[in-house]
Amino acid sequence: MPIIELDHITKRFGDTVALNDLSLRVEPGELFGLLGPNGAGKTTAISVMLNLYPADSGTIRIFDQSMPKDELAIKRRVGIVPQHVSVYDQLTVYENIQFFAELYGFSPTEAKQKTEAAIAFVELTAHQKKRPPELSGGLLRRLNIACGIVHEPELIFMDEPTVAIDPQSRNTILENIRELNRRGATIIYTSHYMEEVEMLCDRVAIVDEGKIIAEGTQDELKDRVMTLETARIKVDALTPNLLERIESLEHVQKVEYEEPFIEVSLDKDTPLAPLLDTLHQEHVHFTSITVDRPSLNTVFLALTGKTLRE
Amino acid sequence: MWTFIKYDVKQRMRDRATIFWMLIFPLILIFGLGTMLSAVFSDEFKLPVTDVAYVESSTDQYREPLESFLTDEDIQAFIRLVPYDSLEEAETGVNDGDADVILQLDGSDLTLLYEEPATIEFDVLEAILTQYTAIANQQISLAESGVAAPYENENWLDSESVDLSGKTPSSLEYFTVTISIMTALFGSFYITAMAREEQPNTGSYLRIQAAPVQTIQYRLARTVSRYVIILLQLILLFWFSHFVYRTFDLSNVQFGTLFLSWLAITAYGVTVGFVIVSLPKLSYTTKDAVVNGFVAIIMILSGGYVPGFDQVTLHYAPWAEYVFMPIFMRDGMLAILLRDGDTTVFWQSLGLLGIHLIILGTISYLLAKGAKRHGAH
Repeated sequence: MPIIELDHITKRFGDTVALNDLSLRVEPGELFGLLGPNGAGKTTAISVMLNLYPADSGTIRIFDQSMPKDELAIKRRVGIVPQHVSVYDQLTVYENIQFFAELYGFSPTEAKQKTEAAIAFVELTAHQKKRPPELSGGLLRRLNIACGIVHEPELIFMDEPTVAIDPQSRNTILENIRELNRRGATIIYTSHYMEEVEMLCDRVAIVDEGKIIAEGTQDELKDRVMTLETARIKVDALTPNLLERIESLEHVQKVEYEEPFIEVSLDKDTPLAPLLDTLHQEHVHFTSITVDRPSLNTVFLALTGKTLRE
Repeated sequence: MWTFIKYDVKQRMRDRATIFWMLIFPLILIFGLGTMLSAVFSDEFKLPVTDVAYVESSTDQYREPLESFLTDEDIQAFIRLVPYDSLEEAETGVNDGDADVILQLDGSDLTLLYEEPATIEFDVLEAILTQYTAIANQQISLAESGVAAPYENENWLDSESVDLSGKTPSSLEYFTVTISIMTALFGSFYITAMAREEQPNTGSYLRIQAAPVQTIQYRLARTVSRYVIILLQLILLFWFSHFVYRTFDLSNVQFGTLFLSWLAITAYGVTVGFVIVSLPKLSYTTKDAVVNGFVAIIMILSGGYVPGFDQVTLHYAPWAEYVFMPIFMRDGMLAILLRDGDTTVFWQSLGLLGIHLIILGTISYLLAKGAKRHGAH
C-alpha cells in the first residue's frame, strides 16, 4: 500500500495555479525525488501534503489516513526539513533539537536521548552549545536536518536541504539522507540539483508548472526521451576522408571532430564495433572511449523545452 | 503547552532587544527620574507656599479658632493668608494671580475652593482643613453637651493625622506606577511580534505548523509566556523602585490587589495588541508602527514620559480619564499602594478596565472573523 497517495490535487494562490491536478504515489521505503525548476510547485506540493496550505480540490492519503481529517495522527509520524533553515536563534543547537523532540510528545528525558542521538547523527556534538548565528551555513543545514528527524519519523520531507552550502557539507548531508533511508525512513527529496537526485533517488517525478510531467525510475525516464547516444573517442589523427566514411556508416547521425576528440552521435543501442573497425582499418590509434547517456537535465529539457535552472 | 511556554520565555529572556526595551529602559527611566527628583526627597524640601484668599463672614465663635489655627507657625510655613472682603473679590484675586485658592468661612461652614485639576499642595491643604474641621466639630459637640473642651489650640494639629507620608504619592511613586502601567502596555508589542512570526510556511513557524500541535494551543501558550514576562518586569520595576529609592511603604501595600491590577493591566496591553494585529489590510510593518504610535501617544498623554502631563490632558479633555485607561488605572493602583488609599477608586478602575477589555476583545474577535471570511474568498 502506498505511503503517500495524492489524487487530482489543485491549489491556487489568487490567479496563479500552483498545483494543477497533481497525482502521485510513493511506496514505503522509497527515496523519492521531486525534480523541477524553482517555482515548479515542489514546495507547495509538500505544504499541501502536510496541510500547511489546504488543497482547493483533490484527496490526500498518507499512511492510509486522510489529510486533513487525521492531521495530527499523520503529523506525528512525519518529519520536515524545510528549504530555509527554520530554527530559533536564541536557543542553542541542543535546545533547538530538544524543543522539537518535546513538541512531538516525548518526555524531557526521552527528548534528551533523542536529541543526543540526532546530534551525533548529524555530527554536531562539538557545536551543541552554540547558537545558530554562530554556525556556518553547512552546520546550520545539519541542524535543520536534526530538528526534522529527532522524533525518528517514518516519512521525511526534505525540501532542497543542500541549497547554498559547501561541497563537503553537501556530501555529509547526502550521506545522512542515504543512512536515514537505509534505516527505513521513506524520504521525499525535492531539488533542482539534478545531480543530487540522480545520486540519491530510486524514483523521480518531474514537476513543472504544478504538474507531474513524468514519473518513474531514472532509467525509465531516460529511455522515454533517449533516441541518440554520443560516443566520444580520443584519436591521434583524422583525415577528412575518414570523417566522411564514418558519417556514412549505418545508424550514425552526426560526426564532429575537435582535435583530439571525435564525437559520433549514434542511434540508441547501436553497436560500436563498425565505428571502431573503421578507425582500426585506417590505422587510427584511439586511447579512450566514453558513451554519454542523457542526464535528468536532458530528460527535463526534452520534456519541457527548458533547463532545470532556468 | 508547557513546552511552548518554557522555550518561549527562555528565548525572550535571551533576546537583547527585549531585555533592553522591556527591562533596562524602564529602569533607566526610573533611575534617571529618581536621581533628578532626589532633591524633592531631601530633608530640606518644603512644600511651596500657597497664597490663600481668605473670605470670612462668620461669628467670633468660629472665626477666632480658625484664624488662630491658620496663623500657627507650622501652618504658616506653607500658606500665606490674603484676606478679602467678599467671595467675588477673592475670585478676582485668584484670576489675577494674587492667590491660588479661596478659603471661605461662612457661618460654621468652611470651604476650600480651587480649580481642577488640583496640585499636590491643594490636596495637602484640604487634608489639613478636613482634619481641622473634624476636631473643631468634635469640640463644638462637646461644648454643646456641656463638656469642657479637652483640646488646646496647639493640639489641633494632630501630627499623626496630618502626616501625609504614605498617604500622598511622591513624584517617584507616581512615576513608578505610570511606568509600570506603560510596561504592561508594551504587551501589545509582544502580540504583534508573535503574529509576525506566524506567517504560513515561513521560518520556525513552518515546523510548528508541521508538528502535531493545535494552533490555538500554540498561540495560547505564547500569549501566556509573554504575559509571564510582563509580570516579571512589573515585579522587577517595583522591586527596583522600592529597594533603591524606598518608594512605597511595604506595610501599606495591598499585595493581593496589586497583583490583580498587574494581571488586569497586562491583559489590557495584550488585548490592545490583538486588536491591532486584527486590523485588516495592513502590513506587519504598519501594524508595528500603529502599536508604537499608540503606546507613545498614551505614554505622553498620561504623563509616562513627562510627569504631570496627564494634568494637561485632563484639563483639556476630562473624558480622557475614562478613555485612556492608564490614567484611571494609575489612580486605582496608587490607592492600593498608599496608606488609607480609597479602594473604591481601585475597584472602579478595575471595573472600567474590564469594560475596556470586553470592548477591545469583541472588536478583535470581529476583525479576526472578518479577515478569516475575507481570506476564504
